[in-house]
Amino acid sequence: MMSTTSYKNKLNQIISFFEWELKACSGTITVYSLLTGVFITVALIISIFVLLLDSPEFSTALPVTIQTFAVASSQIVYYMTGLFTIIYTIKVFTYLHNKRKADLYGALPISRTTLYISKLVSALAFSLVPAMTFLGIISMICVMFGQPIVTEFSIVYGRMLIGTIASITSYGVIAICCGTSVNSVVMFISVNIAYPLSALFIQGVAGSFFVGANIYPLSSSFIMSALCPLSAYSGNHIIYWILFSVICIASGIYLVKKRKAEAAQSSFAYYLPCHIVKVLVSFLFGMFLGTFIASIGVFGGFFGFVIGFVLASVPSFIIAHLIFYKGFSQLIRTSIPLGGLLFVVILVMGLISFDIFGYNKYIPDVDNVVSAGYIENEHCNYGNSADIGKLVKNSAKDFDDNGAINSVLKLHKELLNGVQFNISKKYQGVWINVLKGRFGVVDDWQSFSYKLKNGSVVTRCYDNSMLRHYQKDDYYYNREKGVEENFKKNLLNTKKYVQKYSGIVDLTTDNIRDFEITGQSEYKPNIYDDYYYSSSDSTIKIIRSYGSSAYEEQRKNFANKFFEAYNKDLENDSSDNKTALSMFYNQYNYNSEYSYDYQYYRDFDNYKTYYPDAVCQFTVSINSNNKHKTTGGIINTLLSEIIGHTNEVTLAVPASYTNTIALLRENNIINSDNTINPNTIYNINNY
Amino acid sequence: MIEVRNLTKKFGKLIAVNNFSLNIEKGKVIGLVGSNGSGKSTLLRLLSGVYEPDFGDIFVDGVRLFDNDIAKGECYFVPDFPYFYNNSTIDNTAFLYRRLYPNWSEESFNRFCRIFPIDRKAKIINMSKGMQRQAALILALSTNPHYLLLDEIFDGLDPVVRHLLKRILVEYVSERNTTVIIASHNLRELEDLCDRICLMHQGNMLMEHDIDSLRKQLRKVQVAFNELPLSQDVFAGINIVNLWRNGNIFNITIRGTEEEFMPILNALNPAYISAMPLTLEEVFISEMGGAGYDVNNIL
Repeated sequence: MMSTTSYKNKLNQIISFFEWELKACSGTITVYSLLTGVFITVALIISIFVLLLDSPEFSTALPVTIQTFAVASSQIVYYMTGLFTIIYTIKVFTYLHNKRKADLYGALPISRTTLYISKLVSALAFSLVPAMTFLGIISMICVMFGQPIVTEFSIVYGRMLIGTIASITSYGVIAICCGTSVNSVVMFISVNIAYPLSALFIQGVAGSFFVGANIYPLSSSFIMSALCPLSAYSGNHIIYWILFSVICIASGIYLVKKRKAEAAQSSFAYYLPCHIVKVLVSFLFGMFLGTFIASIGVFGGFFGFVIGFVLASVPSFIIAHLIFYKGFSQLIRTSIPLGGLLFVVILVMGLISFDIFGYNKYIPDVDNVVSAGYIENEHCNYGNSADIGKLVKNSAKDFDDNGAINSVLKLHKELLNGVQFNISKKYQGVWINVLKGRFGVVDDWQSFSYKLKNGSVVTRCYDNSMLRHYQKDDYYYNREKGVEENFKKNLLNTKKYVQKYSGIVDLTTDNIRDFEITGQSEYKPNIYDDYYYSSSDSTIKIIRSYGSSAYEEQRKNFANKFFEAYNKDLENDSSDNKTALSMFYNQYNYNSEYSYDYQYYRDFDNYKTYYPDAVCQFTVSINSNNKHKTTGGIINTLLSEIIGHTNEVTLAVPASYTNTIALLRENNIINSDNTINPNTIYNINNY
Repeated sequence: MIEVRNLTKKFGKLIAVNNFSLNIEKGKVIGLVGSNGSGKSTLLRLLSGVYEPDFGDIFVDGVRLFDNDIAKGECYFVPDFPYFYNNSTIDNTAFLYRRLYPNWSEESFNRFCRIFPIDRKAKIINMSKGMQRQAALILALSTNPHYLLLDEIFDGLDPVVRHLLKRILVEYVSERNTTVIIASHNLRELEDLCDRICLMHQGNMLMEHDIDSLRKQLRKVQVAFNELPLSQDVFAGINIVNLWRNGNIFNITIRGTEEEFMPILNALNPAYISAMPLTLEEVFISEMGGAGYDVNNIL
């Protein structure tokens, strides 16, 4: 007798099972198809009806209507598929959770692995094939109306695909580990909720207790949702979710082979996921209550945290146990992870609450520093894919002259003198970080970095909102005079800094939001003019983010040429040109007592009184691709949609920047007397 | 041939099958009998590949059975509560089995569908317990298994169908040389059907015998005395399995042939003596009593 089955036979077995499952699930698939079909038809009818009512504008309204229909109906398919995926998946894997089904399937002449794969394939196919069919139909409708498939619609395909695969494969593993479908569903939901929230708390603690730590990479990292397969529907971290799914399939195949059939209808076949979920849930509730009690200052903060953590984590552990084990059996024996959790959390929180390692107040000694660097993200343009950690670390080599090093150290010291790391405030800071992380709110940051003599690099990356949270009330009054001025003179107001970190570096027209040039107006006000005391500036706007403008391509070409010429002039400029760079310099005053100067300098007319050789100034607003985004954040997304995030840079063009001035004259933006020509074709206001 | 070697199956602390060994030849009908919870159903689940043994092995025609689809294709297990989906009919279940079982016979399927009075297009879940058993049997017999494992198969069947099933099984075994293993508490039915009986208690095998030799080995003897023999060791030399006394009358279950024990009993001058073979049920009670599982002990 042969003892192995050929792959062809295994494939036949999978197909046989698939067809059988298809018959078993045909009712559910029909319900899904009918409901989705009806919703899509209704969406199409409403779209067409609205379009016909708007008949005078038929030809112009058609593309928008069809695109709206495509996006709306793809969302219908997306959510309906999500709902029915849950139903199919639970149904398909019940064979692991019922003793009588275990008898039926266990005795069938099919290996456990082949059976599991056929179940997985069935669940995936029942979820994805009908959905893809509907999306295909929607695409065909768009094409029939002569409209292209819009990006938002295409993205739904990918999101649904990766989300469904990750969710089903992970549920498969959970179903193998659990003895009942109820436990599987509860565990799947628990891990999908408890993991990301626990990760948020850890991020919150890291951000609040280690104020200079660069936690931004963590915010957008896959780690924040690593065990939350539902977040794969967001379409982020695709490579991680593919890997995750592959690992789930492989571990599912391995575990199902070893799984004891008698585990059906008992609590668990494998206990590890249960321990993980119980610990996660206990951690989450413990952190919630502990942080709450500590943040209102009970028992000085830390001891309040301990009381709150124990008060919430122990009962939640017991409740989770009661749900999973249907009683108290094995409660004591399985409580070792809870003990471990309490010990680790209390120890770690104790150490960091009292800043045992002195992280927050540490500044290297000046004698040990070889070079130093500073970055403030607000005026930078370093691209979407930049590794911030690396950028900050590399900035440690930027300035090796004593003046710059001392300026950075002094500014850093001044900044830390102005804050107070009170324990209660640290716990309050956790909430700020948790909420910011949850809703994807981003803030600006500044970093200090030092290369030490022993070769190591020290970096501190401060979130401005955290600094404000810890700032002493009298911070602005007690600042040492001259620190900021020296810092600007030695660092920010240098050609090297502007060339490396200002927004004009590597700028492309794709990420320009607004671009305008301001100079002296052709119109000369006289003393009898009502407007004499108002500015005689004239601004022409060349690029704007909303709507389309005439001469769009020419504008973009001009912008490219302008930045090329300006960068060339800057490069050729042998000194730290005060006229060019002072505009950039003064942007750093807006949050201080120099705010008046800032306002003053922004007005070109006034600027020219300080720097008479300034011909004009330009301001470029950059789309916020250089801000740290917490992926999928609600507020972040909304803000980007509504107002957008921009970084703004203003620099002046001195008379010595011949390439730039020649270009401006060539394109009739400035006249021969260096006044602004408002009638240029590049002025959006003219169209 | 099925070889069971030192099979042990535990559920937590409970040892359901304990170091169990057995060789089952082809073409035999084996009855698995035993007390409740003795491990009969667990043994069948092990033999059908549903459960994985904790220790020991099962070989079917020399091939290890567990998770081996080819070996399992030669076996068919009808559990005590067969599972059917809500929309399962005999026809649509046959759709899957036809493609999974290598020996599936369309001819047998049609034949058994005719023999058992069941609507093959009706939903099995709506049928009575007995009808569901019959549906399971139709599917089982259509797969033409070399090894048929039946758990409490007579439960819920009416006497006519019971009789029909026994006839079919006997025919089936003689025609196809199929091995049938039946776990049942219905000893009367097993008595008519089985070649061998395997008696289990608390996971252990108490004995395994040909049913004929088992009957020959045990005798139910009633002996009455006018005067009781004075000797304490009155039945010395006789292998007594069970003894019950009512005054001067002794009811004894004796292991051995009449040639062996009658001379000894006659030498005691009994007023009355009679010996007859035991029914399977009496053998069961007697052997279980010997293992400490009798009514007196329980009460």
